[in-house]
Amino acid sequence: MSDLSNRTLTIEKTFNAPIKVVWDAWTQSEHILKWWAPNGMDIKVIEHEFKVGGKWKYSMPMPDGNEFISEGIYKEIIELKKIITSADFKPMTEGVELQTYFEADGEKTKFTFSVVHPTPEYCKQQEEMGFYNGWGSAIERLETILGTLTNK
Amino acid sequence: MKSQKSLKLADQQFQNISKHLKILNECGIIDFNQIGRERLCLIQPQKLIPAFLWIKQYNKLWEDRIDSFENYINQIQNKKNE
Repeated sequence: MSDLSNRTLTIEKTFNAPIKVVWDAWTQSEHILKWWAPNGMDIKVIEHEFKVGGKWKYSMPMPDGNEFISEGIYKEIIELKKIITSADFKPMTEGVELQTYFEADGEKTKFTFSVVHPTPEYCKQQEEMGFYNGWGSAIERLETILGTLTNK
Repeated sequence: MKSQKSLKLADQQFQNISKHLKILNECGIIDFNQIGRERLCLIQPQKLIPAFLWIKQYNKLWEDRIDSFENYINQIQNKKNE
């Protein structure tokens, strides 16, 4: 069950702008402030160190007065091509990996964005702790187990 | 909704997956029904609806964010072209 497609959300787009514009808008904090939060909600960039091993941390105020924290560490950066970062969205999703790919297409830019959810090992660990956040995949695993058992 | 498929498991096979079944049962996704020596295990797919709703909502959040990014890029481009 190491198949990435089972635990990956992918969004593909072609932007009507040159790759340099898209790259800067995606990676520079003064730009991120403008688009990260949905519907013009407030966002604070607490940390943004755009280099491998660098940390990013954004905060959004929630209606109840608490803060919604998004943070991660850049794992891989290839200028104008690829960014891999870890990401925690507390308390919603933790331990995901964000993969962003850029490709120039004349004056346009092809963009592929994926959210890769934790490995089956991590899910299993969560499962053993009694916490169930991957019901769909649990059913799939059950089916697989049933399949292997009945084929014997 | 009634499943048309049924699967018979030997005791050992049942042992192997009993832990998984127990968790699914705790989540309400499957029900157990004892009939004589047979233990029926029924899937309750409607119990998965909240999970699917959650996943949909979560996917939408990312789609909205990427849309917001696209709008922003278009704004920058339009300013440049003015």
